[in-house]
Amino acid sequence: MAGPNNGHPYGEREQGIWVRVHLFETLRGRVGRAQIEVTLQPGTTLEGLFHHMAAEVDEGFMDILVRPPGEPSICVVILNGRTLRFPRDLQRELEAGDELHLIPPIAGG
Amino acid sequence: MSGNWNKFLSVNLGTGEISIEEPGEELYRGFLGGYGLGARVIYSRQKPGVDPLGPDNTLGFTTGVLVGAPVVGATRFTVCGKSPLTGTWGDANSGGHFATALKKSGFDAIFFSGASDEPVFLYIEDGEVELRDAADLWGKDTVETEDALKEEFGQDTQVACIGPAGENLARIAAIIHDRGRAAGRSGLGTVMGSKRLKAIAVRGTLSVPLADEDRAKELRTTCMRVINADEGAARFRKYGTISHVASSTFSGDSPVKNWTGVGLEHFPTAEAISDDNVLKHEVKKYACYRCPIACGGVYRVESGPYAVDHSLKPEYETCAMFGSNLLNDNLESIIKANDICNRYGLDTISTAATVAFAIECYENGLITKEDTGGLELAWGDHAAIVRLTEMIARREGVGDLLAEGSKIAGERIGGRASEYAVHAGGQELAAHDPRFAPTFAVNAVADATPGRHTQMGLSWFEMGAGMKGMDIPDLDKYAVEGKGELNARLLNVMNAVLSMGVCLFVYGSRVEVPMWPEIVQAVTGWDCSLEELERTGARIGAIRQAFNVREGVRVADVPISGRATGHPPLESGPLADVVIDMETRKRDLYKARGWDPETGWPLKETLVDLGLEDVAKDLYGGTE
Repeated sequence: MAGPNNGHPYGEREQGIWVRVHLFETLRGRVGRAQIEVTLQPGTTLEGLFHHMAAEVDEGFMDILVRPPGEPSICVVILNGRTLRFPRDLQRELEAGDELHLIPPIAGG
Repeated sequence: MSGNWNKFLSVNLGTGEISIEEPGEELYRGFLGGYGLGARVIYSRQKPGVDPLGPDNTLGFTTGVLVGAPVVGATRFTVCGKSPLTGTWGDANSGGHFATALKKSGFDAIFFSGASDEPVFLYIEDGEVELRDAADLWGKDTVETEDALKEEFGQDTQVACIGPAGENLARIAAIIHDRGRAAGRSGLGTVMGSKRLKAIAVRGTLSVPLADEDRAKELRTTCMRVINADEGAARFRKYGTISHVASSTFSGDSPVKNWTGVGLEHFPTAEAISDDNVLKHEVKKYACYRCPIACGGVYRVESGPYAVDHSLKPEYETCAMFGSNLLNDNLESIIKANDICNRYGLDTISTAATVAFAIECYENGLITKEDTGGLELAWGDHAAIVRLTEMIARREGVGDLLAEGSKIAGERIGGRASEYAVHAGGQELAAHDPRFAPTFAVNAVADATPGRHTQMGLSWFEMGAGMKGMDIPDLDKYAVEGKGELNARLLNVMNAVLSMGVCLFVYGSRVEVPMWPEIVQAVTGWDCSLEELERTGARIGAIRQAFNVREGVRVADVPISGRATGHPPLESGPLADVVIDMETRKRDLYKARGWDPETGWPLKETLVDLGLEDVAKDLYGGTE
């Protein structure tokens, strides 16, 4: 399925879809990069992405992104420029070319 | 008495008379210090209706019950009085080394009344106090002033002073310490200028009496262990508040293009003025007195039009207000604008907000090229932004009008200009958008100091962070119902801890809130509990609000710019369609505080219950 950013140099690749994830604050500190591109199976949900990142990128993501059922994420998650709401959007399926911003709570200021 | 000296100074600048007062333990236990003690003393001394820039306005400099003790983050002094920006209670606070020096000089606070005919400064050294001639200092910037006083009295002298902006009664003037730590808000640098009080210079080497020094040190060690193990604290130690300039721009926390834009769409280059890019200019770290976090920095831009030397770090508020809100991604210009504000003694938040206001007026033909002396104003034009900042600092050309702040400037310009002034009750809003965390808007009008972002209350949780050790359930930040009780409780806690002189970046985000009563007990010997501190915070909140009521302020009608509350809503971006129901939220907060839900007045029974019988009499009549 074509995503909203299908003209970008990322998007559908071979068997999977690619999404771009921008990282901030402690997430950036953990990964050491400002953004990563993640390959996912078609039909992967946002919750699936969070589990994937915890497994493949840094297990610390589990603490930050995956909360017990019914509890909201403590990150601000922006998908293609719009803020997602939790837990409502956890089962939302990602599309090729999706762009996410994961923004942990600010530390002060 | 432990934790305090039971001594504060009263200085009549009109007569030159200086007296030492010993108010007794009840005042300290009831109001702690900071803006709590300041509000109690000034409420009692001052009649309502005084001109904020006249001699009858009392200006307080207070420390706090934990300042001078071995307590992490207890480094802040508060300046307080009636604000010339809002006509309400005003306060501002700053870290650095001044608070500790003042406390160690043998005094808990200073209250200035009257106005001097000639410029003066107050010199304090270990219990000795003297008003001195400041003719040679008048006209100097804040760095020159500090350098001159340190040269005269020694490098360990701590100075809080105004620059030319405060001298010239720019209404958005700040009080500066240590070349760039600012008690910036509420226009209190202007009050200092109106009294022709150039500076306070302090040398303090006395040891503050402590009830249980060993226990206080033990608790400090515990706090240090918590901080040193905290991942967020480690990042904060490296970056400080600039850590989140970009992320706040993209999340919607930061205002963009005078509160009309969307970060992801209109300011995608925010990374240029955030975290690692800012750190490139850091020469060395800066720490407030014995702070283990040391979130500040000393900055230099080596060459070019924005060269500065030994300037303090532009903090998040400054980067956002001179950056995203002006669509300015030229970092060196932001460092320069910050330096101008610090040297001249201007509040960076109000100054940058007023620059945004001016650009929008210019864009809409309400300020012309003739008005600006040929300077063309445009979003992102960093040279024009820096130049206009200088003009405000010097009250030069159109800067003379803009130095009054955006609300007054809008009223004088007329037409639609007032729409472009984004403020609450006369004070420009700081860089935390209520559409991202709605309680910011509620507290900006329902608390006694309009337009402040440090009265966070529940907004701290709405931003996802929260205070450690406070059992607050996860909430949908946009849900309206059920917020008042939680917000009131958190505001009470904050009133208490801030009044102790503790830094916002330490007390709840690093150290668990239930530890503070233990720390107070170790320092003072009081049998203190969190319940007592919450009640003290309620008392402090009530007397500040009563100050405004007594001034004749229609406290429930303090306005806030529609742009900040989604009137009209943004059409795109992370905050699209957010509209904040202010009335319900305000009523719920008032009710939870024991204030009238419609008028915002603290109820008589609330005041009496909090031990403020004299205030109840003032507001409602009858005998005490």
